[in-house]
Amino acid sequence: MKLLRRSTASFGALAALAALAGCGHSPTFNILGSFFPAWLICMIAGIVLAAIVNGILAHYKLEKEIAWTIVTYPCLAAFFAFTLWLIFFS
Amino acid sequence: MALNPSPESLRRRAISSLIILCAAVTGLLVIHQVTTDPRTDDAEIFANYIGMAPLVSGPITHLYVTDNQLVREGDPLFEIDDRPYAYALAHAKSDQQALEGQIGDERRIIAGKVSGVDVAKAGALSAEASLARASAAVEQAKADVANAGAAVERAEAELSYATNNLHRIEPLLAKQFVTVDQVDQARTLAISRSDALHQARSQLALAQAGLAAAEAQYKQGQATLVQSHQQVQQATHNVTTLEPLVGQIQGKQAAIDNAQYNYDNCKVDAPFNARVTNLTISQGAYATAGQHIFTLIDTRVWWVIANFRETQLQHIRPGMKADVYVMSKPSIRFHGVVDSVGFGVTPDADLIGHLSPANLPDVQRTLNWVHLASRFPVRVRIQSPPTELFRLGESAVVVIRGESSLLPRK
Repeated sequence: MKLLRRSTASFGALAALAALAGCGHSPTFNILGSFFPAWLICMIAGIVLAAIVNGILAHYKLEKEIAWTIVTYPCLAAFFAFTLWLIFFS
Repeated sequence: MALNPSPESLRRRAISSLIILCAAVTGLLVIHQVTTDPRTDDAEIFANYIGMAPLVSGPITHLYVTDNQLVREGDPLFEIDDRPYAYALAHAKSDQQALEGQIGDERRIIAGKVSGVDVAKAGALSAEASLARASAAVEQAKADVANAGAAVERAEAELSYATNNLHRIEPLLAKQFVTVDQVDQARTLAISRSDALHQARSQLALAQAGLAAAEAQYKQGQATLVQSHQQVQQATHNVTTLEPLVGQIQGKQAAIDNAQYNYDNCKVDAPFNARVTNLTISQGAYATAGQHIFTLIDTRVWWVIANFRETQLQHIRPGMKADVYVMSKPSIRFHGVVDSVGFGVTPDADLIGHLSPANLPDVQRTLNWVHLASRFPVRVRIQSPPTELFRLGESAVVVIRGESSLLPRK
């Protein structure tokens, strides 16, 4: 299960890398003339990744493996967001 | 939850705890990263710029640049009609030449006046000689008077003798002791002596008059001498100096230099490598001295002005490396060096009131529970900037590379 989560995380990271490659390393993203800070993008990506993890766990009937879901999923999202930020923008 | 947790429950808790721990650790790492390497997206590309203003007024005859053009140092920018300034220069030069001529003339006049002084001195010497001569004449007249006085005395004595003799022999005529002829002779002698006395007295009066005349001449000579001395002094004072004219030489030269300066400044060159900006005129426009015609952006040095919170400033020091991104090319990372940190921003008007010297501080009674950090501009110099990419006022992102960048790399 951990393996599954890791692979999902790495897949998500790769997807994010592919998505962000066009924008390079500037920690601000231009969306139609508005500049969005990197942490916002990372946070959205983290939430999306956490939702994907949740979906995968639900698909394999493993969502019961997570205790204190109301805290754990936000922390998972935050972990993804922080990790993405540290990988790409530090 | 059972009091005795099952192994499954323990595993679930361990997984969740691990996730929370990972989130906390990565969160702390992010905080550490952001603290040691402060960053901001509140930054703008900046370059120093100047307003190009001519130093002289006049219509622009040539405009060599167009808006947004890149100019090199020394390239001509525009020319102002230089004819009035050429005329002014010629006028100043002719003024100087006139002054030089005037100085030559004045020098001759002064030489003439110096000769006048010599003439006056000669006159004074002549007057002194005249006075000496008059003095001698007075002495001579005095001797004449004494001589005439002696002659009068002699004539008186001779008259007295002749009269006495006549009186002595006249009574003897009655007794025939003397002849009539003898008496007549004696009378004639007495009369002639009397006439001689008159004549001697007249001579004395003449000599006295001569003395008076000589004395008058002497006084006249004295007066003439005084007059001659005064004339010498007057002539000496009349000798003028060149100083009023010589003093003008520098002024005339300064006028020429000023005219030359104005003339030279009719052609305006670029003071540095720059971009022409805000050029909205064509040739023929009237340029007024000191009024900006267009703007030159100094493209030699590009900066980023990044605003950092006061809490971040302790981690920013001049010399630190910085990464700079511009939004027009977000994929390119430029290297910068922190040049300086701002030392002043406009104070918060809500906090210390509006600064006006005549009034009392305008302190608000309401106060905020949460205060926002002040932010200060930090100047980051971009190293080896490309000429085409940067624009003044462009949005930028700055990441300061913190303490580690102060250590020598490589």
